[in-house]
Amino acid sequence: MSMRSLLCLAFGFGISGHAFAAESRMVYGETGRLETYDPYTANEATAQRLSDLVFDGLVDLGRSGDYVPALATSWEVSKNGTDVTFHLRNNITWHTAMPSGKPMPKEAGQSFQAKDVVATVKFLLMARSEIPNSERFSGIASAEELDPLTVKITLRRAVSDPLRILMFKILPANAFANIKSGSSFRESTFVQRPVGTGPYQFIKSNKQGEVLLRANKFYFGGAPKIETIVMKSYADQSVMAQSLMFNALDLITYVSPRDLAEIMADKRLLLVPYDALSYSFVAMNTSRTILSDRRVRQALALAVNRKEMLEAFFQGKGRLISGPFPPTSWAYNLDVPSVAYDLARSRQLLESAGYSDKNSDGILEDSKGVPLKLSMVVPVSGEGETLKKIVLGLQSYFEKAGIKVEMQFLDWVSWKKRVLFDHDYDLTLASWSFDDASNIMSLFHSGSAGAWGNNFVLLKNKTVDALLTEADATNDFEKKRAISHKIHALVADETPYIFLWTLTHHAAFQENLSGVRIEPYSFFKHVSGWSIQKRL
Amino acid sequence: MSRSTIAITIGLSLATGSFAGCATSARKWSPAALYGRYFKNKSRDSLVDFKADDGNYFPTFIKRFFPGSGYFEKHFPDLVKARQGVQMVEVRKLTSSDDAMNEANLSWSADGVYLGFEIIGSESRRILLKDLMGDFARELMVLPGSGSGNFLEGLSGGGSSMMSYNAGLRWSRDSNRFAFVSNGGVGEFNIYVGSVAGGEQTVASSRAKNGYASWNPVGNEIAFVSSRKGAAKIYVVEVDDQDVLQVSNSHETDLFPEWYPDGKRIVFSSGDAQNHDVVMTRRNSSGQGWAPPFNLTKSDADELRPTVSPDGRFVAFYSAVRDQGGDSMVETLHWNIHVIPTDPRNFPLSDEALANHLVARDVVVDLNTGPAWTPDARKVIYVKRDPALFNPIHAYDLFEGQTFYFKTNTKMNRDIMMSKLGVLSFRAQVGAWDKVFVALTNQGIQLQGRPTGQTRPVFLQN
Repeated sequence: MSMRSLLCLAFGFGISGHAFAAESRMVYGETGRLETYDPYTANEATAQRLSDLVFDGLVDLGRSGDYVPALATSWEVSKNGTDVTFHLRNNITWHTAMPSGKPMPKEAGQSFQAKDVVATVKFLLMARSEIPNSERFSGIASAEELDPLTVKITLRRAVSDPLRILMFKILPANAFANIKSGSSFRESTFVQRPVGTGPYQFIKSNKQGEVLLRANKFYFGGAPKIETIVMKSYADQSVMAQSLMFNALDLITYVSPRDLAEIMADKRLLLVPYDALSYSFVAMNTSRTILSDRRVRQALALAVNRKEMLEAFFQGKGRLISGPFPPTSWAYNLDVPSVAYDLARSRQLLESAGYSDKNSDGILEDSKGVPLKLSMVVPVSGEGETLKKIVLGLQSYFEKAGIKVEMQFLDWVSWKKRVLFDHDYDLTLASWSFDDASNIMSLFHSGSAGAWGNNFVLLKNKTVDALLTEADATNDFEKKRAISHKIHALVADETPYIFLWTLTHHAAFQENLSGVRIEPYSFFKHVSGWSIQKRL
Repeated sequence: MSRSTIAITIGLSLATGSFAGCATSARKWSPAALYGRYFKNKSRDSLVDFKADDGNYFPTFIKRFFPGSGYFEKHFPDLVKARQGVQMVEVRKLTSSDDAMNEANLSWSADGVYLGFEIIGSESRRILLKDLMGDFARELMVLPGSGSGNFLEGLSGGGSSMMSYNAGLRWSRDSNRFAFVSNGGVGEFNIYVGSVAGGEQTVASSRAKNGYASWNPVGNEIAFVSSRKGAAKIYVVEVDDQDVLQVSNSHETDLFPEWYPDGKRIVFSSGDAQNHDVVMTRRNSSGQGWAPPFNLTKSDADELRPTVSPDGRFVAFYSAVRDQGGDSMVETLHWNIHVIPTDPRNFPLSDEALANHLVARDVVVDLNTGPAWTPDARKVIYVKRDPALFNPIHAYDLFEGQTFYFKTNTKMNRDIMMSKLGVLSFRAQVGAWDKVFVALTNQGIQLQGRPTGQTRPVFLQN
């Protein structure tokens, strides 16, 4: 699970329209220029999508959410649930094609073996503190080579769905030779010229962040139909969208809300929605005196017209949520209604909590006449236009309810320290992006309420704790779902967050790109089956 | 590509009372009728070529819309004092509409009488034309259908449930006509022209996208971007005979064309991904064609959305600056504004040379309008990326080297433009929605005078 200010994944289906002649080059656009091209040193969706093209994991997710073979052809989970043994695919070699004049990396052309899996796991465990979102590897204890094509990975404790945390990308063992830390890996040549086993080989990059990839004709999933892929990095999302509309790009992986309508209105382009496993929320620090009163938290939630914000800022392309799970997850409780905008009810709750407008200045005061004021810290980088619009909207709604909220914008590092470490805040705005949409243990369990813990709202509810622990321990799916629904209802009632929405993200592409199918968290998973044709 | 007719839905009205009144009765107007109500026997030129005198700084129609102008005139009875600094006379929301719709992208006519802006609904994006007094209101939205009379001929793939998208209005020099971009409700983006008296038509169409129309300030031709031959290139179309001429031909993507005031040169952004340069092209000596474009800048930075000063001496544009942000390996981008002479002696300017032409740091990029200019060509107006103040409007005086703050008391400002008469237009967030605003300032040509072209610019120090 990771925290981001914006998310950008999408999937879809291509439709071919007019007469085309064959061409085998696809140019796609991203925003932000990568400094490294491996799966682990960059914490951006851009890097993850590039990794989908160049690298593979041991297993993958199938269309129905089941696990399907990737670099491993089969696997067994031990009876005690802590060991997973993978049987690896034979005759896989690391990419060999390199630009002319450049020396071949030592791993190029070598066979993929168990030692590569072991080396990758050892690196992830060794460099955890220096890898963004490294908590996703926290359940892994060790890896052991049983033979060149068999590897055993041991978990710290049994979990109901062990493969979920073992879907990381595998790198060649030689990539970690003489690597002592995450930072030394970040300085290595490998992150600039990665070598993988995936459907596309990394050929070269330039200082503008453009990356050239060439099809791996020997890819175990089938030779890709598109011979070369070029990734271009844009400084501005709207310029990227214009480049798609004016034919300079074949695909963009994310369409910003302000460009959505114009792309929708162009019949040559296909716009594909994707309901990401994520949601946005306003977190409330329950350890603060004012916010320790649940009535105040509920009043704040009632004061926000989330439907209007979703329409105004995102053209309604999303869904309001009522609780702590992404709404596409089986753990989400559809019986819990989302909080409707109700200013009168909000005022009532605040009055019952002891707040009223004694001096008729529009801001409520407590029994001692102290105005009801809160601060909101907001992480912002770059322009952050949508973020600022949301914050301004929230401020306006809170003021209508009689609550003065002062905004403070912080850079990402300062925000993390202030919120996650110091817990020195009243309100903050953030998003969760989930790898495992049913696991919210770290978000609301009191055991995660310490420094750098994900329970930075400091919720301490024994019933919630007990249910989270019970859900995590059971392997009975129906029981787990029933418990999750209880958790959903309980947390919604506790209101440590104002649950806002999960957004529908969009990718867009030209009509001559066909066969496009995109999965959550693996944008280019099916890229081998894509094809592109030149317009006549 | 099939041809059929497309009807433009036009609401012609004479609104009564407040400006918000936007009833759309099907009535056609002549230019004379447009001004008949408030301007009676005065000619249009006498209204807009207003000469300021001590204690009398704005034409009547401006005073009517901005009652606060009277206070300003009394407070500054001396013309010399009235024109000093940047004075915000009055700020008003343009419409009284509280509809749950966003408004955006205002565009002033050259004479400062009309403006157009876009209304963004879930089913359409349409353009509303107005004047400040509410005498005239008209809606532009091209829909597929069978038209007649003044209805335009366009391109259609047949019936469509696609939204009608209309945007990018730009006015002609005489302020009677305008160009805009529409998908015709059928998904094909073409250039349309119309006039305040009615009578719209397409002037540039192709199955590939056409956009970014910019009307020649001295002639009846429109520069625009089209990908009709593959990549985005700059074209010019004669409005009357619809002859189209390609004026850029590099392998790059060319966007955002803007005319120089002399109508003989066009500046635009040209490049790829995150490396665009500012490029200029000019008519060749015969006046019949266009000389090969040449770079005004040639740098590693991304230079976007050039705008030309009203006197044609300078070009302002956005330029990206990279910061290594926090614990992320992806850089954080900030944007600055640079101003360069139209004909730099040592063009193209490199990164090092551009560093000496900085006028604003850390701004909000606005691709709708680009950096705005005051009518006297002294100041560049822009939105500062200041989260604490939610994007305030600033101006940099190019000849004083001084930055001013426009105190509009609005937040999340964008789409900045200033009319000839000194009315600043922009959009800002009200509650959750973007609404369009107008603000009367002392920056109009009638107060500040026309550009003299004598003064040397002063840039920010690095």
